Amino acid sequence: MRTYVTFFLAFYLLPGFFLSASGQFIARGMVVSASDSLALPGAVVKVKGGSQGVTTDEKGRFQIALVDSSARLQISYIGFRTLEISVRFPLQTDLTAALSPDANQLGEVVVSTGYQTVPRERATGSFSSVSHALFNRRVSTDVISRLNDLVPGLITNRGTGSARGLLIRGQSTINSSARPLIVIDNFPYEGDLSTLNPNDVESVTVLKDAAAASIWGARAGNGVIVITTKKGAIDAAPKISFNTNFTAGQMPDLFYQSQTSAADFIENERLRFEAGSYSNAEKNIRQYPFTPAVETLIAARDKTITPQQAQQQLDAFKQIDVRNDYQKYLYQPSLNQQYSLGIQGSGSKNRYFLSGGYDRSRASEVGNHYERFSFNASNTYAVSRRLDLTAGIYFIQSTSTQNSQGLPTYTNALTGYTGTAMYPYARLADGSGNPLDLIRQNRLSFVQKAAGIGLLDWSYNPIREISLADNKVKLTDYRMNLTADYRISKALRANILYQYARGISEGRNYYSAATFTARNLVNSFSSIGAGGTLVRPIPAGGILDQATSAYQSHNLRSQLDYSQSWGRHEVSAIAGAELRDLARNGSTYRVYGYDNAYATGKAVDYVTFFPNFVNPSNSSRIPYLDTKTGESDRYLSYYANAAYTFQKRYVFSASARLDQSNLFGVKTNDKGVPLFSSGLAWNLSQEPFYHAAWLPYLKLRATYGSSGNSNKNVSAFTTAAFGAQGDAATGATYATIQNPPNPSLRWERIQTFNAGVDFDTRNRVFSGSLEYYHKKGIDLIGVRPYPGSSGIKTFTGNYAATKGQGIDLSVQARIFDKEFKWYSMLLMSQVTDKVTKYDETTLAVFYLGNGDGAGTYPLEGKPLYALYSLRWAGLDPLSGDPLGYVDGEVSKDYAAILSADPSQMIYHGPARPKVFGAFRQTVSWKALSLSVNMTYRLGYFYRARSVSYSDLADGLTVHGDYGLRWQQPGDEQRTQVPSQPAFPDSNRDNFYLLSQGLVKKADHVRLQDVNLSYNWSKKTGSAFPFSTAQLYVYADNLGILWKASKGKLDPDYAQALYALPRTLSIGLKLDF
Amino acid sequence: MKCFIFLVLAVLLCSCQEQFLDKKPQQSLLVPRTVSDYQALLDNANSLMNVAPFLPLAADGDFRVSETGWNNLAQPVRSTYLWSDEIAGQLSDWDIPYKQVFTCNVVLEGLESLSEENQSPAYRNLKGSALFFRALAFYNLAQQFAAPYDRARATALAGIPLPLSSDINLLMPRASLETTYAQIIADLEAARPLLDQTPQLLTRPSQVAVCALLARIYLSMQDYSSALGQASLALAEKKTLLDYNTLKAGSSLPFPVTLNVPNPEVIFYLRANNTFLANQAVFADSALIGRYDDLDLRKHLFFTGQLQFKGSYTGTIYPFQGLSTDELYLIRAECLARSGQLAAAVQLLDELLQTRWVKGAFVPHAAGSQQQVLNLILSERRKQLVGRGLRWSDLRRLNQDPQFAQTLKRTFSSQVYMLKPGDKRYLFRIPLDEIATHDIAQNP
Repeated sequence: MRTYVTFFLAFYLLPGFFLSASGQFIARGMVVSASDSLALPGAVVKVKGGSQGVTTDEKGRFQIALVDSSARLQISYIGFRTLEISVRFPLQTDLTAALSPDANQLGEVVVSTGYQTVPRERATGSFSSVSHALFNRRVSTDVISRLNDLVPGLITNRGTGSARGLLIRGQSTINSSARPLIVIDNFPYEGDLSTLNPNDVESVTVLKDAAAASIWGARAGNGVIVITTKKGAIDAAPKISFNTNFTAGQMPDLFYQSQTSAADFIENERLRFEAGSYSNAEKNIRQYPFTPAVETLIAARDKTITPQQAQQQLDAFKQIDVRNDYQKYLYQPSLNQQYSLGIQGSGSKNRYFLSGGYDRSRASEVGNHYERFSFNASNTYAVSRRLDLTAGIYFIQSTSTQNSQGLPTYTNALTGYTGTAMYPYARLADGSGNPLDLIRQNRLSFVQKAAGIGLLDWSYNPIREISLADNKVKLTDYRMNLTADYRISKALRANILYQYARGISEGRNYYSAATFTARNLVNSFSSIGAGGTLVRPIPAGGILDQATSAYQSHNLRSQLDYSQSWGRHEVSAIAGAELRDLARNGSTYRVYGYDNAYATGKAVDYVTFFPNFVNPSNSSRIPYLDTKTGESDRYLSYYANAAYTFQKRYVFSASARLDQSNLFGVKTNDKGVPLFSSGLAWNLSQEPFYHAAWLPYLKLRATYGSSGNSNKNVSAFTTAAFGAQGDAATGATYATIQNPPNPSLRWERIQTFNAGVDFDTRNRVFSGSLEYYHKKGIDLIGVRPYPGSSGIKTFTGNYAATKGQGIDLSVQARIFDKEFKWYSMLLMSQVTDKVTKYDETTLAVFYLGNGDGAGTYPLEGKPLYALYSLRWAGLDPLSGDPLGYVDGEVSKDYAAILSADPSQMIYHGPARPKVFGAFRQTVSWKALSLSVNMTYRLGYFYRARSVSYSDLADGLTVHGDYGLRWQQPGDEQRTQVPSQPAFPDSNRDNFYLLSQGLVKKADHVRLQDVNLSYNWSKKTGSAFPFSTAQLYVYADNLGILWKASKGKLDPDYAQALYALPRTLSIGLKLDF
Repeated sequence: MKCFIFLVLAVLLCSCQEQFLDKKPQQSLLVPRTVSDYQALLDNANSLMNVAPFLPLAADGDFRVSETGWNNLAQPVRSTYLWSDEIAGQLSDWDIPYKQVFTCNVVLEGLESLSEENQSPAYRNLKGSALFFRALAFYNLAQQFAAPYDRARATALAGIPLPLSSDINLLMPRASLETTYAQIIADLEAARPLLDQTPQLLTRPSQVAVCALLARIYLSMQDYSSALGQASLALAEKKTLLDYNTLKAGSSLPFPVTLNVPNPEVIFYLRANNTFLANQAVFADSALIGRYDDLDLRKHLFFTGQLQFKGSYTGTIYPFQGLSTDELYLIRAECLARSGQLAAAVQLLDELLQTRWVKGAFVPHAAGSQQQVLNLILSERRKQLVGRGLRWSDLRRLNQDPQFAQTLKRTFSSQVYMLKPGDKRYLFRIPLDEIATHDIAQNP
């Protein structure tokens, strides 16, 4: 060790003396990654059998002094296979050592924070990087879905409402966004992430703890995903890569959710009809539509058809299931094509990367398509020995066609609700496939009468509507980067980075004159004027809706990087300042009487109230949809980060960042309290006393620090609203304060403690890391009652708190590593969170009904999203009524049961997985490789649906549990589904639907995907035209292997119309 | 060279900070910025700024509530009526004045940030208005939640929280009684030179209003010489009286709707936040009615035959709590009497009463002893200012003098309730929602 250090010192401090006096052989060269030719800083270059060794510098360069004129160099780097090369002097050129990535590694090579890259050995924090190979193992058009099951602690939750979405290590906020900060090419990305082409992604690093993320300050509280796009390669001949794949999805299963049969539905309609439920609706001036069965019953009653004919018709209806037609006419197997072509290389003074991509897909819904072009170019030019300039542009344009109208709906005659799901025996087309009309808003007889007096055709034909629709959203997004990198001295560099980004989303929804929407709107406002002429305040013709939203951001950063080592000491530090200006604006407008051929519209009167044609006593104004919005986020930030390494064994790191923003209050900006972090790492295996040969790499690390999360929905400013009319007393213009000024408004703070251990066993048979973390969310935005003496009664500000903790484990094993390889990878994450401070409580029904994510109802001491239920005492054996408890007594007082205090609820558990991960097996033999990925999610709950008799009484399609209902005494032994009451009681239904029996365990294991590939590599001198080629087949969403609860439902899609269909892809990658 | 650019950049970042971070995060936010924006906040008369507490009307003994009517009242009114110790969950009488204070603080801070050349008359008047409204709100709070002013113990007794900043994070402790009144007077003295001589609207304060309010406040503090000075100043500017003979006694609301047809006596408009007195179950105390002569028009203009109150100077069913000349006559007369100028006091009182009696029926009073004159003036004060919420402050003040101290009594549900001079219920209790979220001392 000592000689090594002396050597090291001598080499760095006295190069001139050393070189001249020694007379030894100097080998110079560079270490790069073979996959992308990027430099590998910090790689170890050793003389085999000798004592000399050096590490490469920031640019991957090294020079090493050799005793003999020939030697064998051993070059190693974590995440890459060790390479040995022979050197024989004299050397004609500098050496280039291209290391191949170790396919079995997560590839924790260098981690990028968006401000700097850190070698894994020097990292104290929790970084996960995803290698190029793993990132491309999956096939998808977007970036984020590829990160699932690759990064411990990262999950895309699939539950309900706001419980859905991407999370890193749980949620530490209540009312602010929980989305991680996405950084693309050094700057936060504000656009639509779906526009980024995964083929342009070089690497992804996920920053999970404070030491990793807090350099991003007030926006890093949810973790940070740092995405780096491809850049030019160093010292490489032009390399062309081509990638294409085709993906086909299964037909969605519309029978996934259970529902009453048409026979049951019609039987219920008959009962309702006989009970006279429809008689009011028949007289209603609004002319509500009736389903064919009700029309048949009316016709039979009015004796226009015989009872036998009526029965025949009803029996025919009972044979129909509209879901067959949905699958036939409204859904289709999805298809997707992806092409990407890239070239990278370098000249004598520059490095470049150019790529183009094209994606095209057809969604599962008939009428929906997606198309995307992407273009990426980057060029680095060495102006002088000290100055590098890089310019890059990234351009994307996508068009999404959204002509699907969803499932057809109609206006329910009993409730007047306009979005009622279509009755189960509807037919979308006749036997020969001709589209059929369906009921919509008004009774058929009325629609026919209206047409007779000159109104536009009022019929509704769902299939035809799809072909008439013309609804597109065009997204254009581009980023321009300019970087200057100047080497002031060997240790000190200065960077200036500028990025301009702009994204525009233009929605254009054209309802041609033939569409139902246009005809209906024109008709609704029509009236018969004096002399019987038809008056149309909305001119007949098309309607055009346009919506534009755009963002524009300027980012400017100047930074100094310092990196120096003296013998046993190494220091690496950065400091900088950053300015960020993000503006968003949006507008919508509508043109009536629009003529697509000439792009002209007609003026309408938005002020006058016009009577409704169907119900003239009701009048309304012509919908005015023109709006404008504008938002602006501004940040000024100062940051510094330093790491000190002693003897390559002990690393101490610290970072601090100060953010000022127009979102924060003046006091917060002035106070200037920075967010900080600090960390320690100990490379135990480097200690002289360490002799565990079976475990050659062992590192312990711990960090603590805080990062922030900003909320744009609260304002630090006083905001007011003018009264619509003058003051009631004086008529003077007046205004009322809406939002009190809050100069102390600040970012939410998330304090994180993280401890981890990284290890490799001998020959890396096993390697991995285990981390424990503890997170505290403090100063979270919450609503709380507030003393009236302040002038307000409720306060929305920084006061709430959460707590979370968890474990992230990842282990890789090389079970066989010869010609036949079997690699295995296990990811396991455990995460719990709970709300520790929230003063506002509400009624139990809100937690029961919405606590799983349908809304945000934080309850102190519980996870933010959780499943609660009401205690169940079974069914009344005499009546089949559901039984609950009031004050510990069995009760049927449903109103009292529902008005229970939150403390009376049963808490089942979180609505999001407590334990999740993946287990991946990769076996390969020669060129053939098979990879199978299983995922699991455990420790959470969901609420199953069931029958609501109130809905049934309203003539709605209800859950298929209807067939299992209690019908006679004794049934309570076999079923928990209550009897159908004589009169609907919504409290009785609600109690049953919120009762404990319907909350199910969501735990399951899934066969997520399988990838089979065949790889060719060009042998020296062979005629094979490609340097490498890969043919692959990939199948995704394969199905559930095990689940804790019975039934057909996929726990992650319990509320969805259908579970995610399986997909199969075939693809080809070629490198020239 | 790069180092230099870096430095320039760093300097640039720091120097542009002020304006850079001043940008509104959302365009649609109306962030009050101009004098007229702030004026609009204070012109929110009907629903906030010209609204006063009403609970004193339930407590001051001038009105009684039928038993069935009592059962229909909200809990805070019921317990206030019976002078019970029960604490209200929340009280608009607490919340509304503090909302006014908050609005005033927003305006005052906003004006502070407007540039110097903006010292226009409108700016000055607006600043004066905000100070006036703040003082008024503090004074109204002090009448309910702080002890009656007592010079000897004012530094020891608790006043009310006095928020002087719009920063809602700064929750204020209860200031001393001395500080509370000092703040009220300081605000008004600061407002006086800034305000218009005559207001554009009766809902806006004026210089006369400042004098009138100060007269009311000094009187409640038993600082009779200062009260005399302020009342005299105010009367020098405005002393018009309404001849009650011009009003129709048969009308259900005899007084003009003063915001439409100005009542010549009204200096500043303020209404109670509740129509408590218009409640069909609320009647004037019969002993009070007995004090009015039949030829005294007030008996017929203030009360219906069923003894329900209809005499609000607002001209509506909302009780008037504002400032008017009749109150000033009575303050001045009382202060003159207390300073021994008995003849002048009686003459001033008669000047007022002349307009309250049936034409020709009024017989001028002869000046008797100081005691007699004071008794006469205080009796007329109670009769004239009934339903204005002033009786409560008068009881709190006069009870400190054994000569005028009195015990209020109610018989309700065959139980007798009493409020003795100096009773702790002369302080209302601070509502629970305040106490629960703010660490301040509750009234005993």
